[in-house]
Amino acid sequence: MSSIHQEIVFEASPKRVYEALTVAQQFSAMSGGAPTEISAEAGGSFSCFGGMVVGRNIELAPNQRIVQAWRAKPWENGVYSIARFELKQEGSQTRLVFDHTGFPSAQQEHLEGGWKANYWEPLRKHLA
Amino acid sequence: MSGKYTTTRRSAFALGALALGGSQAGMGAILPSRAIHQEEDFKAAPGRIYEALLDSKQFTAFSGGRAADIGHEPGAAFSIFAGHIVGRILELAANRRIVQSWRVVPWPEGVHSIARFELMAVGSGTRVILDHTGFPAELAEHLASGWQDNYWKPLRKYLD
Repeated sequence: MSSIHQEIVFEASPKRVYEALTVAQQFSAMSGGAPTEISAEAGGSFSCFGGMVVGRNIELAPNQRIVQAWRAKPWENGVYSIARFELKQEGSQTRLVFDHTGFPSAQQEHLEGGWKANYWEPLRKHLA
Repeated sequence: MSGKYTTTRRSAFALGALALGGSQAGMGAILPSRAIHQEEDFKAAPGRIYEALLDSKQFTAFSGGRAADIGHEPGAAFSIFAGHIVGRILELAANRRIVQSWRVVPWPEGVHSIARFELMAVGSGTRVILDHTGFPAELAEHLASGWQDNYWKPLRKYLD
């Protein structure tokens, strides 16, 4: 079983980063207009990138932490990973400390590149 | 049946790979991530096991009277062993599968694991296949024996 740890600094407040990740309209805009649904409730479901990524919010601490049960559509039935986003204010910037655990280990390299290409880079552009 | 856990050191390749423009890429501590896989056979049918794991009264009864409060809808919260373990139902397939986010209350804030129970009919009985992932690696052995002592043994005693 593998895990991913990534830290990225954004030129935006924790609030802006949190909202880009949890408000469907912003996430959709960030991801190039792909259909997005994100519940604002802990326990609520989400669907991103036109349904390619789905799951449930496990914990939502506004502007501070997002924990999701996260699965890619082609994964075996019932398989979920844990994606945790911790937001730490550093002056006018935000350090996003990301931990991804419990995914199928064969997906390690694919996911490492995927977080960069599908989350952090578009998020940087969206927040600029 | 014996529980086992596996360990894989994550690749150091990813660390520092995210130097996006002027941003800083951190070097996190390299920790192994572990998973627990256990398969347990029961005489009871899948339906009885599914209910014992999800019904608050039955769970309370088999876990020695420690209060259990378990929601029945995907997304609903649960609390078992008198509040010692909490989480949410992620997915339910009647008599076949339960997927939960699962957290021991003293764990560090924000740390949750995934517990997946697959129920397979074997003759008139059931094989329960547990996969537990995403927990703090140093707890693997403690948790592996915890599933035996706090779930399977009392559940078998309760159902037989």
